[in-house]
Amino acid sequence: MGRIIIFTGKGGVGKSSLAAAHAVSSASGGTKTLLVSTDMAHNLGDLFDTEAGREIKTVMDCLDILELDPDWIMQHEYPDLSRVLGKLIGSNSLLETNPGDYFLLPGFENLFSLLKIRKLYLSGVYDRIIVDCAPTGETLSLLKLPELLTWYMEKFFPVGKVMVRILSPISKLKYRVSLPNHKAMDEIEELHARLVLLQELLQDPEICTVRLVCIPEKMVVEETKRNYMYLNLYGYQVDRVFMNRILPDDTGNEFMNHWKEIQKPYIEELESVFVHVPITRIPWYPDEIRGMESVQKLSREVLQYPGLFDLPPKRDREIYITIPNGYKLMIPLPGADHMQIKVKKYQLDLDITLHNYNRRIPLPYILKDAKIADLIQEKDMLSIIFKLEEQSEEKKDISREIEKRKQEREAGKEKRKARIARFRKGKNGGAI
Amino acid sequence: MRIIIYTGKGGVGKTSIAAATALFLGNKGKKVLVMSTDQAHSLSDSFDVTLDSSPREISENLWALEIDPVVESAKAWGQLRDYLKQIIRQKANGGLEADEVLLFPGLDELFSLLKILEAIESGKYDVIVVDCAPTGETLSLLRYPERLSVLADKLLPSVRNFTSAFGGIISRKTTVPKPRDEVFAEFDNLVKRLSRLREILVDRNICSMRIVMTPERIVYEEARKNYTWIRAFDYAVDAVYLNKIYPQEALKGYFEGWSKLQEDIIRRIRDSFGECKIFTLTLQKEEVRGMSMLATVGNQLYSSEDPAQIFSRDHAFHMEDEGASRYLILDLPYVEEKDISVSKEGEILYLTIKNEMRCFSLPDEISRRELSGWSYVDGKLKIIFDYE
Repeated sequence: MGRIIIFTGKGGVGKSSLAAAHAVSSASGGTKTLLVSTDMAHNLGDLFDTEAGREIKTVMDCLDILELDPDWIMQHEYPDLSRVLGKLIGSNSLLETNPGDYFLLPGFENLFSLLKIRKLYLSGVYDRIIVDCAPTGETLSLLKLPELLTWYMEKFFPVGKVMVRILSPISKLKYRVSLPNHKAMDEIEELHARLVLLQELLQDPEICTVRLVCIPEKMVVEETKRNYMYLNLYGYQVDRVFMNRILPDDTGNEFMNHWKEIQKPYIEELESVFVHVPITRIPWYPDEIRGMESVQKLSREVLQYPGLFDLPPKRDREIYITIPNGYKLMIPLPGADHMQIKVKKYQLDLDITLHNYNRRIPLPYILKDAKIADLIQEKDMLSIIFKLEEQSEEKKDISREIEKRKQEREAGKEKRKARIARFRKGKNGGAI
Repeated sequence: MRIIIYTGKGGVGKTSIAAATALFLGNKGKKVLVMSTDQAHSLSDSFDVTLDSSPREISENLWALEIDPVVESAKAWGQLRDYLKQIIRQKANGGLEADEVLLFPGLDELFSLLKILEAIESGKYDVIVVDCAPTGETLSLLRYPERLSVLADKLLPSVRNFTSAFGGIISRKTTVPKPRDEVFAEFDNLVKRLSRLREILVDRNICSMRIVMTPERIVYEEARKNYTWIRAFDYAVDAVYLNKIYPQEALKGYFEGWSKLQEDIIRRIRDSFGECKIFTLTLQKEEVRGMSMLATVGNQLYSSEDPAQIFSRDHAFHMEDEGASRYLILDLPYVEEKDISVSKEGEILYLTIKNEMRCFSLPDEISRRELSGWSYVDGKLKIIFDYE
């Protein structure tokens, strides 16, 4: 079975170099490998001193590279879906002449790159696909939506298709809305099914793992934690973290030696977040990684850890369960009932202190104002009960504000009705 | 009234620069509000004070706040979101993951910007300094007001009419609840506020965008792309900041090789940002934190300049006549010809570059003409209009 490894991290932390180094290591061992970039700021071409692009290019024995452009994929590989999206927005000549103009959720475009990667995986040409990706946490969380909408797809669509047939002529005449046609409805169902299958593939622990690349700097550490939280929450396997730009013990000058001290707490924080994930430290190279030779050097010097492409050992992850007015977080912890455990929450961080170690779990936004209400220690499980906070003054203000606007809207309702009536009259009279 | 928005990718130090600028202006007697859309509380860390989503006076003439995107997004589209939640929750028990994904993490950033509008409407401040979310996200969100108004103008009236006519049937047949009128009204209101916000942000006499970067190749390339796009959306960029330049003493020994790389990048940056003012700041001995450190940084940056001034008014586009043809010329560096597409419908000109679109409302003297072609030469896009 083929393997997919996704490298993710902010631009400038060195994820492309690391993905490339892994690809070179993989190909050197005689495994047919594809290195594919979905980052809009591609730099695979630079790394291998060649022109890379939408067409697959062979750069060494067993190694091909490819740079994906989600918009191009949408238009060329999913032309029907592109038209459907256009139709969903409404039919006017503009959207038909500019097939790229849809209103999409941020991160949604990347899903098209991932759909393409699934296609490449299923083609069976490659034994390993290494993906150089922009931060994926939010994008992968969007893959939850198709699953949530499944019930509606099953129930609404059969009805919807019948209704479209009956209502389409009426709605066009009367309201000038073109409903998507029967074929388009089929295509929406198909996109839905493809996205569900994509989620399954990327969550399959036997096939796909995610490797995070970061550097020990405040902002990057925060973003890495967030990304990791999403990946965990939505059930993707993170199997390694690369901490890049670690300053050497002696840099030869005091200024940088002092910055070595500044790096320390961030390294420690990353270690407390990734307690269960192996961390590889990468020294700060005094020059740029550019060109085949420096990629090979990186592969030789850094990727010497055992089991480079092995699957990670199975690990139970934390899960959240919905309870009245709150959530229960269950953390697998062997022997939890015998331990002295201290738990502290600071906004979006949860700190767990045992006698000999400290672990930090980044929490989802929804728990930002939640309070820890209870701690349950069972044999192999630590459960934390979060209660959502009573409304704060600020939030009360907002509720009042929302209520006020609602009343204003109520007041304007009659006016609006009259306006709509006029609008309709205008339509019937053919004035618009 | 001045709005200064700092943008740049995570880790370049834009929060420190925003904070130092705000403090400097406050000390000079201007009433300043500094706000951050960043989730990591970097503004509180910078000032070393606790902040929340209401303005707090942290030194003379200086107020600061941290935007809570969850709160802002509830204010902006709580009802519409609740409607979506209602649809999904009814049948799918997705637990916390579902609740979290329905916060639509990306959109929150957009609604956070509405806080700027609130601050303007309060009329309390001379200068508003904004520390904005990282580059990529900011970029993709800046285009939404335009797209949303397409939705509000073209789609919403149809959907509203459609649901009022057929909503009953749909509800009966499928148990999909029909959206209430408030949901539409809220959306309408949201679009209005976003459009108002955009109007202010594109006014180059009020608002300037400033890009913060570090002297590294990837950061520089992203900044350059960012620069093109911000201007193509008609926002004014009047200055760039080159932060964390390694001082000579830091490059002795192990990092000697870095010195040439850094010089090379700095040279390229100086040539890449048109008429923008370029501010430089060396890497400090410590992380920039606390009032006294921020004051030091502010004095280093602005020894001779008032940071509230408008450093450049350069326009990304202008008009020219040649024979009977009229040209609209856009300064659009660093894009590829094959990625450009242009179309016109009525008075709106649509420009798409790769997967980003923007609309220009054309003035009368052009809109009555037909689009007859375009060319892209030397970083300038020339769009040609003729009478038939």
